[in-house]
Amino acid sequence: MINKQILVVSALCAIYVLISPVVKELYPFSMATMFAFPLSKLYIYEARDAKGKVVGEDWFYSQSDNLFDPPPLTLGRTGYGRREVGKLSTFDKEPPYAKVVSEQELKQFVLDKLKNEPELGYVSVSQNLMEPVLVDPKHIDPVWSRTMKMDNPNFKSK
Amino acid sequence: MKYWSELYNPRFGQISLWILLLTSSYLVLETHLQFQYLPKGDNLSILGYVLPASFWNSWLILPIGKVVFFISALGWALLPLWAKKWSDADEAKLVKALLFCVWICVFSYFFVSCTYWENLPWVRHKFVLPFWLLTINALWYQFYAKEIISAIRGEDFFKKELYPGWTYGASVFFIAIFYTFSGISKIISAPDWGSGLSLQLWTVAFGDQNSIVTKLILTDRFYAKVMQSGVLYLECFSFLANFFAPLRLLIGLGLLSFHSAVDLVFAIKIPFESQKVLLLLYFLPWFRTKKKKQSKEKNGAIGEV
Repeated sequence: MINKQILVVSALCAIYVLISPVVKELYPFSMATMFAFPLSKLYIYEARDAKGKVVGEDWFYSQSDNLFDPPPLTLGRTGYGRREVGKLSTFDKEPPYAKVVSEQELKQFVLDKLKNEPELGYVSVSQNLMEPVLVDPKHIDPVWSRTMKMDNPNFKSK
Repeated sequence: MKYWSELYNPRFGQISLWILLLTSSYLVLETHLQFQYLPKGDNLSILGYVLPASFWNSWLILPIGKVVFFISALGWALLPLWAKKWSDADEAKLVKALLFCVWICVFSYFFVSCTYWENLPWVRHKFVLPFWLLTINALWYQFYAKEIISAIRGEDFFKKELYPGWTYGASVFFIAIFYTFSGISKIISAPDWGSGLSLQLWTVAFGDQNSIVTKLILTDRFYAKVMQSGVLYLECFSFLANFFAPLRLLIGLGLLSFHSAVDLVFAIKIPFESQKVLLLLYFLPWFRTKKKKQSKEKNGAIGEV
């Protein structure tokens, strides 16, 4: 009797072991791919108002691709259960995984966000590339930076 | 692994089942449909391939799934205790009612988790393990329901040997292999995953700048490399927990430290309390597979098995 039970349970274990590596993420099967894609460079984005204060703190991270938990790319899939619209596409499925966002794409993304910020006259948007520098390889530092001033077409002065 | 075919006192099994049901309930409470307004993306669950995409747009599915889960989980947790109160009830009917609750609980948890994954713009890995552990425990009840009900009605449930070793063994297996797969997926994506560089970059992006661990990681890549490689080795070799009890304890403590370090580093909170509970429950030596003292302690002591 107990041998039959062990057979059933072992079959369940085997199913999990055989299917998970193929599908990667298909509930209830999983390869637990969190943090599996190691970045070798990172682009940091920031928007500041006229006074230099950071605005839209969650614009670039909660509303962009998830850099530590990328979408499943097996079974012809490219995304998650729900597809976020108007997000900044910052993840690349090939190394170094961090995608360079073009100036045009970044401008469009910020303009979309500014639609909900009529009190902001303009914002300064910066894009910083972080990676190890040759002179001090134990640290990561900004090695490239670009800042652009963007007027808010939806600005309504008080 | 020999213990898989042995029977043990059910004290650990029943208490761990109650804790597992509480952990699963905590996770079910966390589910929501706040991203349902977004367009449907890809299928993230088996049910996603079975049911039409429009099904996942209904706001009713999650509340119904949750209610069914909580009622059945309550039935699974408490029905064995109520069994002795219903002395007149037909034992066969009680067994049927118990097994009905058990499998409805498993499938409703599965349904709620599928619904959640199908409606999220990311994934939540912590929902995976409780499903498999619930299934293993459901199989225990499936094979032993009659004996469990009889023992409870005879008031000697905790004195009998009704807990098969494979229930514990398979539970450890699923937890261990989950972490091993996590390690393997990292090595597959990059053999030098543990270099420390990516940990430093994730820490810059998401780290809590006031945390001591964050400062340590960013101070020198050497510290980042030690931590990252350590996690990689620990995860990859987690499967050894299946074979050696002392190693199981060490791996369990290592994985608990890893989850705690993640909590300390990242400002974006990635709550993994449920994983910590499962590690504490199955990797710490509450249940022992050696039966040395059992004959001496048969009269009611903790099943030192």
